[in-house]
Amino acid sequence: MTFNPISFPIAKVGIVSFFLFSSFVALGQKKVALSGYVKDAATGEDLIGANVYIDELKTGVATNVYGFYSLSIPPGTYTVVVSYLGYQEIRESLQLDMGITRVFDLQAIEIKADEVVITAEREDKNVKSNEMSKVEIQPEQLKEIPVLFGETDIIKTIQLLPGIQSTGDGSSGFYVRGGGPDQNLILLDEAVVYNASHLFGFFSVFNADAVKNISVLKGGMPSEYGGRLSSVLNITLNDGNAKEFHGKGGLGIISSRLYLEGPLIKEKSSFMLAARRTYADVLVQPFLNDQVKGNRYYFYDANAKVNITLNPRNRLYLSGYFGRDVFSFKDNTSQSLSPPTFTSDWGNSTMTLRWNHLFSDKVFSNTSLIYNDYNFSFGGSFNQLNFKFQSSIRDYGFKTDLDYFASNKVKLKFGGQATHHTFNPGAASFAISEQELELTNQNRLAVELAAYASMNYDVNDLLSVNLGFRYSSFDAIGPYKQGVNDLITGLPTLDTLKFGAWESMQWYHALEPRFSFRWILAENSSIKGSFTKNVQYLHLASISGGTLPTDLWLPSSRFIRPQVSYQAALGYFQNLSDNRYETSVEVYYKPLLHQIDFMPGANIFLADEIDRNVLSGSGLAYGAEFFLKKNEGKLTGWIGYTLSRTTRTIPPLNNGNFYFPRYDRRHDVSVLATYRLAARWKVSAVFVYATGIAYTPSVGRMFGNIGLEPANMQELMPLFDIITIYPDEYNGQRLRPYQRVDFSLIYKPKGKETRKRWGGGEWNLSVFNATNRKNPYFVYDETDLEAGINQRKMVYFPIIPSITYNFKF
Amino acid sequence: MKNLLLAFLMLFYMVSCMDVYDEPLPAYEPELVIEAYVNQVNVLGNYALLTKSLAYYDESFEVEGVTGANVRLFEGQKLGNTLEWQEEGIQFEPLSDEVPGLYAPPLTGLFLAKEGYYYKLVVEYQGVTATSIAHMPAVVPIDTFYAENIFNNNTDSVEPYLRMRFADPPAFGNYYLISEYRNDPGEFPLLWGSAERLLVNDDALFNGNDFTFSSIFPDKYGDTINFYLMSIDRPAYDFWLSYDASRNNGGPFSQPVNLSSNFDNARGIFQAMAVSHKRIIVTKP
Repeated sequence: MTFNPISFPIAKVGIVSFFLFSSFVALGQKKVALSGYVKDAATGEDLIGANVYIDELKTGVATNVYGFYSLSIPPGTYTVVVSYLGYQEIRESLQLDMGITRVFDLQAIEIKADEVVITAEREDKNVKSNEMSKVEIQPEQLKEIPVLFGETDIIKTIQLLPGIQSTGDGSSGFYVRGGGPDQNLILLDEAVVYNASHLFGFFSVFNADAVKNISVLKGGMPSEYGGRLSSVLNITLNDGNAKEFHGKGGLGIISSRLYLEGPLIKEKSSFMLAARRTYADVLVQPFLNDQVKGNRYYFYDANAKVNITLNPRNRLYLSGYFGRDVFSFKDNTSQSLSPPTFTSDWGNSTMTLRWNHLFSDKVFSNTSLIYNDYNFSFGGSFNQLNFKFQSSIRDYGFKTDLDYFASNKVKLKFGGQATHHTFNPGAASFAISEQELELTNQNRLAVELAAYASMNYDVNDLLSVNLGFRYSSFDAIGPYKQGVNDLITGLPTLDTLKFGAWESMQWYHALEPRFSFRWILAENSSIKGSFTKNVQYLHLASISGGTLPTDLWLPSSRFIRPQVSYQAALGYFQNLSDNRYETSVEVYYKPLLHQIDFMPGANIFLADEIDRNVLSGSGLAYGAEFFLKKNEGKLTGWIGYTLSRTTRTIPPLNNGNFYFPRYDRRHDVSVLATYRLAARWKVSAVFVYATGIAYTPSVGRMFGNIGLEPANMQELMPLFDIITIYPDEYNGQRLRPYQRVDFSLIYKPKGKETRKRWGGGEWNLSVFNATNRKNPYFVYDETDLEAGINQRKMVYFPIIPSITYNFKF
Repeated sequence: MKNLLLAFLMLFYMVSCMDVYDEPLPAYEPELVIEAYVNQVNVLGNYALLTKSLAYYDESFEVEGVTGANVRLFEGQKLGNTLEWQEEGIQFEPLSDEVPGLYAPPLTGLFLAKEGYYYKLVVEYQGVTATSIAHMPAVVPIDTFYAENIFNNNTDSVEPYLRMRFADPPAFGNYYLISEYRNDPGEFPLLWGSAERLLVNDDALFNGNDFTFSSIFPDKYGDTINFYLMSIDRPAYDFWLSYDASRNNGGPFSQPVNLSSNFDNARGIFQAMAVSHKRIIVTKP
């Protein structure tokens, strides 16, 4: 099937948008617009999700991801209330005879150590907004959470929220509502991050210093997001201080970081630059014995962003991320003049160029050009053999979004997206003396298109609905040479199908409806519901259940169909004690189609047309999430509890019966508490409990029963020739439950604040896994002729204390 | 890939620790394990070896031979879409008390397997019948087999490296098992298990072309090497792949894999193999 990218989807979007438009234009009669931006008074940073509220009309709007807002109201004099969590509210009387543009500068509340702050108007966004299954985190909040090795970690923090589970201590992957680690859309300034981990997953690639806003969507995904089934983790980078030059940083035991920001042209253009590097490898060198000396492991990353306001209607942003992990190993015990060596490096790079344009005071647009790349390489030499392996995924994308603030009751959003993917599933070269062998898997190319439209409609003071759809398509294109299997025997034949450049090999498309509503029950309580269909065209070839640098992404093809999920969610939201406490209960039901797994023993390394080894089946996830959060006072924090069940049915695994994947956790509890002890001291604690991971234990063994001469069976390496027999039930056992307690103590030394330029110095002493519980990440078998055979567990992190000094200037 | 994972594991060891994990496991009853071969070059290389598996945490490292089984082999041909079998077949007998569990045809029933034929092995033990069918592929001859002498700068000397070349037939779907057997006056091992398996491969990457097998490690001058290129069928190929996979099991990197078996009611392999054989003595130039 050939595919004309212009004809079908765009036409469809056009028609629907037209209807949406024409039905609501009539609502916008005789009104004036109040529009503009909400910014941080000190830094000039745009504030995302700040509230602009008209007291008299009991109506309001939240700023979009660029800090822009627009309200259409009848002419008159009004009290405008602008508020944002952690900022002093603005209350201002404005006379509106005609449309005006107004920038509100909010002052951040400095929490003085010895006073209890009570903000005048507390946030009730969680009750009033019609978004559900969404959590926003400000980077400032991250700093109080106990950390591992002194590195503040965004992904480790979101894993403390109900419905989001950790893949394990040694991995920065996460599972959302029974979805796999590849079903999360991770966006850094709109660019997709395919592998969000450093150091094999001990840390995530996001440097918290450079981050302005973090939002997580576990369900009820609005139509502007797509391409993944389970969640969106949207990370927005700081724009940089537009008023003054500032910096901050941290010195830790294994790494340090530095952040700089400032104006390029005052109030018009600013920059931000953040970098960090681990140096554990440098520090430990003197203490290593000769055998391991010279081995290195480190990572570094850098974020940069520049923005320029061309005029009040046009603004440009350029942002980028670059990070690498480098690992090298040399066998110093070797007597050879050229001892065996291995080196490996991998990392992401992303680049986003964005253009914000105001068509009018009611129509805001953003257009982005996006580039992202993840690559992995591994090479080495031993004896006469030299080898190198590499794999990568690279995208070029174009995206445009329009926000139309039609009236104070109706907001429309629509846009489109086009991405060109290049997958390199692995190329290797081997050279043995003069002979060379090159194995190159063909690159896979694909074009992914999407168009969406949504409408947010406040039907009355109580009911608000959001109705949208997304039309997505995925075209696997040539050039490609595809093997053909014999129709009768199923065996590969000599025949190949050749596809030319841009020729369509397989086309998939889908319409994804999205719906959500909010019904206010009382001043402080509401009910919200959502129904969404999501389609995912990219798949992660991972058999580890976690994330590893070696993970390969695969496009949908003739053999792999796109994954599909439906999710229905219902929630009850209630705030107590004048919004001091937020509570919520959400239930969800999520059937999943075309879920993939690999054939038992499948080799995903250098297998051309690896998708022929893929198994496909269905899944089901459902559960309930309970959340209690305390926002202010000496004690703040939250308690989250998730009761859930996740299954997959992917024949022939588990003989075609359903099984529990690694992502299934029956119970999951997270508690986070921060307590202000005294003027300069804060203590915080984290407690996590989760049901053990499902796994398949070894029950029987054969060693040397096959393939060896009986006389040699006992002597010939029985340790290495053990063949494991697994029970018929796949993932039928559970590892011991996961349990962890962390503490941190934060101290702000006196005196530093009086110095003008070197302000908030801060010590953070953290203890990770304070009870030193040995949580198994996985279990393996160890065989020893004397000790016998033992099942052993791999524990990543025993008790780990760390100390970090954070500074600002 | 294995090396890569090992390197990664080394790193994990730096920050992690291991501990004995003593949770109870599901019960397991030892099972019958069969290893059986038929070939077209060596009449003594057709046999069945019967053993038993162990519970994983059984303290024993002994392999127990299975005696008292009834083992019978049938030859068959494909006529149309059905397999026609010999009526009587060949009754295998226990070979000697020294190697319990080893069953072979009697001297009167010695045979060689024929290209294109099918073979069915039926094993009865303690009331359970295990059956397997294998297909005998065509022989793919070894073109050349030699030791290449390469000068090593590090050791300042010449070292021999084994090279073996063969031409893969034009159609896809050839499966190979390459093995060697050293320093023995005979051309074939008594049991195929004492030949060392070097490579199990299909022809997906080199179909219809010449393929050269090159050893990575230097060989020893003076060694006598029997080299075998065995053509096997798809189930046997899958078996050896799963054999290697299940030797490396465990940890988060592998999908738990049970050794595939081409028997019903037993674990193991019945392999019909078309053997091409060369023998050299590695000599100094």
